[in-house]
Amino acid sequence: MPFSRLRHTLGRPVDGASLAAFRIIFGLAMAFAMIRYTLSGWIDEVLVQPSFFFKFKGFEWVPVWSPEALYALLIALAALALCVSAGLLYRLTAPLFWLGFTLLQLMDVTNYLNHYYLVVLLSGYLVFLPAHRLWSVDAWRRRRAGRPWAPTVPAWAVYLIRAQIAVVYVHAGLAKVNADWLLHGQPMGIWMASRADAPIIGPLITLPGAALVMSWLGCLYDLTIPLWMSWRRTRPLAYVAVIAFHLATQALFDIGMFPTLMMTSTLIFFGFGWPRALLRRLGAAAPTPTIPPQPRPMAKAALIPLALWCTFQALWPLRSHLYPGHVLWDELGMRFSWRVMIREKHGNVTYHVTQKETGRVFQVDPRRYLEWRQYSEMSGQPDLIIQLAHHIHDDCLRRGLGETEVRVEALVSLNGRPPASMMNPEVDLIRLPDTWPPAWWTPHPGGDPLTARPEAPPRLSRSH
Amino acid sequence: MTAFSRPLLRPLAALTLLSALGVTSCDDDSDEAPASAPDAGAAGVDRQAALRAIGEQTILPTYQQFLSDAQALSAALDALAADPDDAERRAEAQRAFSEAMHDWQRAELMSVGPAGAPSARLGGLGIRDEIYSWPTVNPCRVDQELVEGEFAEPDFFDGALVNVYGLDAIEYLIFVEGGENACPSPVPINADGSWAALGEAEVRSRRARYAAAAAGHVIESAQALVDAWDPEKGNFLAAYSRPGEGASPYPTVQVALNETFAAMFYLDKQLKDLKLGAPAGITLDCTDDRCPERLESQWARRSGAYATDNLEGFRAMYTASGAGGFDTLLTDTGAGDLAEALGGATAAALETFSALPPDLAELLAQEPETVRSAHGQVKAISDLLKSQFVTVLNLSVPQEGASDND
Repeated sequence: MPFSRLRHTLGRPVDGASLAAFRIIFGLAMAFAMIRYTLSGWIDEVLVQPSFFFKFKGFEWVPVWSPEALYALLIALAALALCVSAGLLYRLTAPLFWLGFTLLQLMDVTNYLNHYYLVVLLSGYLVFLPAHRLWSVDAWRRRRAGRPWAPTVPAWAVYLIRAQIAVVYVHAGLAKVNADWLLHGQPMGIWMASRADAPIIGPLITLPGAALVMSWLGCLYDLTIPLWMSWRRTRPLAYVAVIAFHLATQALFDIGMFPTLMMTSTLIFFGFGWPRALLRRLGAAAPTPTIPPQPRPMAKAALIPLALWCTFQALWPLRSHLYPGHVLWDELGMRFSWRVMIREKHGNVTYHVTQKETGRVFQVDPRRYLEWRQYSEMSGQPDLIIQLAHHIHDDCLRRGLGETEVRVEALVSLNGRPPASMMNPEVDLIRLPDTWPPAWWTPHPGGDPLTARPEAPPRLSRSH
Repeated sequence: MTAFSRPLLRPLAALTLLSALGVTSCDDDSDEAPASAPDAGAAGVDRQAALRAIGEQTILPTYQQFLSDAQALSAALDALAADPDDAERRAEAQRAFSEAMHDWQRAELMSVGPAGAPSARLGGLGIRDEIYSWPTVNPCRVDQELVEGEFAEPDFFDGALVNVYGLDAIEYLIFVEGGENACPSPVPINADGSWAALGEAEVRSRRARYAAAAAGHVIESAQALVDAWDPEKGNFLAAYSRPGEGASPYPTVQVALNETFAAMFYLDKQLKDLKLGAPAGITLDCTDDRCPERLESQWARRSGAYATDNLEGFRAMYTASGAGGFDTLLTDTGAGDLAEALGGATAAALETFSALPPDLAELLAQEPETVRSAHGQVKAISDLLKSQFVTVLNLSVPQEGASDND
């Protein structure tokens, strides 16, 4: 019976070395990231200097902490990440790291990055996984107490991480299957043109067709790398490709810790005992543990929520296909969908505030309330534009202007196209009716912005 | 997985690896400085050439012209200081001031490198504020310094705040009429009678001498700016047009373009919002119907002329004074339509502003809609700048480039 076989496959004990290595490397990477974040002063830029913060729906209650508390949080997160890495008080430190990091991400939407979301997920998994059974302080203390843990973990624990990494890659690849990426080589062409002066490579990356070739290769890489990493015979070569790809993206783009995260996380695709094999190759004694011959099937009570969660993770990024228009234009379903580095989008947003009593109209520049970085993020994201509209409405009340209507003129350029109105400028954003599609929604003037030929973005190449 | 045959897998694996290796051959241009200027020969996009043209054809000549204007202004003010009651000399000083301001208002869009504030621009020395610190102006403080009488001391400008010297202070000193001061009555110079004790003739004399001293400092600052850019001296021109080389503060051409864009952004924040939007009652800064007191040039009454000069400065930066600036860059990158649209919007705005009176105050009182319409034309430029222009050239305002992306 397939279901029974699945339960046995997922529940069988396997060498816990790869999961332990994942914990160690992930913890170190997070500690490094938190220290980098602290030392760079970014916390000032993103959470201290702004006077207004955008909130995730349902998490409006999450406050922005004082500067002192924020720095204390970052230092605590770095320490917790080191504890996770060392497997010290793991059952306490892993949840605390997840909680603290998640809270930090919830403070302002404009700080959202796909790889921060990935960290939230992976650190959340570590809360439940027995990643500390091997090569940890906790395991050492158990051994000293005469109650050692078996050096094995259930196979599903490793498969869960693999599945999550595969979801990221495949959806990042699927997101690239669009006309801009595959037919126009955009926004790769825009990014490459801005690197035209790079020594040696500059002339190459701006050769005719280079952006298109790179776009296709990037798409193929994302779509297929989980496959190559899953097959033992292609795995070594595929991992070389992983390293090369992420080092390149690290060098070309301001992409932070994402390449490091992916390069280290992808190691989970190697065999369950890969760290032992590596240690043996380095001359260290790393005997393979004895795996119990009688595997226990995974409990149904655990399998069902796990299956539901994995199905959710696989399908949730696709929700935008149920919505009208195109996700890159109206951003409906954009977040939490692994659409990594696939658009270049900027806009000029002006609010038109009508004083109800007098009919007088003011133009309000969002920069009055936002830092540049926040403005840049907001200008292409309708839900954030609506949030700020409410803040402006409240600010006008405070200023004694009375009740106001707030409309927006959001002229946005996507992947180099001429600017177009991203939101309906006629609707009062303060009193949006509960309709679907939303009352603010407006299609791109050329139809689907990613297939409409007349609106195709300009080709940006060295020669033309 | 076993369903895949070896003949299929191998080419696909090779393709995947090639993709990665292909990307990895790209190196971060911020890590390694180019040994020499990239070859601009082949037909195509040469961003460095745009920088060179902007520096050589627009920024440095504008500064040199302003230095010449400042010297003429200083001479005129010295003459006035010698005879503060001479109406002809006053008129000549005012003419020289307007001429200098005409060029400085163009230079306002060029705060790249030394002109910019150290905290805001790479290579910034804060010289712009030494020359003209608007909107940081304070006529009352100028009057207080006038009473103190220390403006003639050699170290006065080292310790004073920027709002008591520079072109903004000179404007007040040579255009203000009568013997009144700009301070409210509780301010000590009024409360203790020290202003009244000077008498009208002494006030007139001190204003002329103060303006002459301030003009001397403007010359020093303008000279410092020219020297900083001069290829024979500071040669910031090379630092600007050859990023990544020598002591250039710009690691890459892209960073230099970002800084240039940030300087040109004066058009949006200062011109559109502060100089036009607030006085015309368009922004929340003015809750009355209109706020003429927010106009620039309250004393010389040339707010309209200054706005026109700003637009000319923008056009000069955009086109590198016709030598191939951002317009050529856009055309070469395949965004010719945008280049035309921006050029067209700028020309249309310039045509409108050229037809406006030099002082917008009267127009604001009689035809506020005309000022609002002019504001709309500047906004049309801004709409393109902040959307397609930024997108196509992958520009970022420097403050936003500090954190990660994905």
